[in-house]
Amino acid sequence: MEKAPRILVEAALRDPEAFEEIVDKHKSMVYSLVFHFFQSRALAEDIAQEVYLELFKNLDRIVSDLHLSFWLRQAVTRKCIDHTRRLKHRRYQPLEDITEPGYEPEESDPFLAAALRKKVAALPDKMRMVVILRFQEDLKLSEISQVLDMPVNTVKTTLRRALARLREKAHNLELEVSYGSARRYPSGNLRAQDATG
Amino acid sequence: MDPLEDILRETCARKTPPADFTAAVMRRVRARELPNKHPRLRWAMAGAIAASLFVGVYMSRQPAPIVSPDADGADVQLLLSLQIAGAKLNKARDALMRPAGRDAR
Repeated sequence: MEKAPRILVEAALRDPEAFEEIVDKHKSMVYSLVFHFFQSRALAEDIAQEVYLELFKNLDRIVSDLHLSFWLRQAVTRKCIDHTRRLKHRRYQPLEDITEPGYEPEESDPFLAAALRKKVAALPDKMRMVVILRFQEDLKLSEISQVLDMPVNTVKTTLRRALARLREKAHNLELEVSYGSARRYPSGNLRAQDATG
Repeated sequence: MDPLEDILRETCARKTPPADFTAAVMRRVRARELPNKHPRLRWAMAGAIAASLFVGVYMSRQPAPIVSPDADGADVQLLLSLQIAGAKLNKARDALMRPAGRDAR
């Protein structure tokens, strides 16, 4: 692991109140990973809090502030996948399917984004996490392989398959949100990608 | 650049957690931290509970005390000797309290 300072960690070990700074620094990353995985704000909040509690318990194992980010990503991934296993036998209706009053989507094209989010949410667990780590955190394949404890080639194949599936579904997506696609891209662009990729 | 990847980047952009997220985490951290604040006290309490349990179990397993026939007679003898000693002391007291004239007669 990188020989980097662990200023934040040392501070939190000395004074638990300094842990707040760690929470603040990484909360967006932790919360978003869970949110994109489950498409649920309630679950995102709950699981993200659990991850931080686990971090607090294992703080002395963190060797650097860079290791902290890595540890958090790994813990989130594990928690998300564990949670889906528990949810498998339940009928799960994400809260995000219901639009919250006053909630303004941040995307410039909410229809397209919402449709694609659904497609991503339908991917298998590990595949979904690879996509999220790649496009939310902008991680390299080698970094994803470390977080998910998978060989790099497997990550590469998984990502390629995920993108192929999403492209395949983009045919329908294009029809569903043709207005959004047409505004953003020249007509038939996604279809062209399907043909080439 | 692949347009699909562009859309995915936008779709998977980081979200802002609720405003009270940090406070909620810290509340849970403090709640978890409190019992760990005095580990020695915790160990002392655990030791005291274990010791009292041990003593309780040990005492409950002890056989009931057996009274020997010798001991049974000894208390009767003690009472008798106390009665004799009491009677003698009473006599001595009476002798001391008696007026001197009566003795002369």
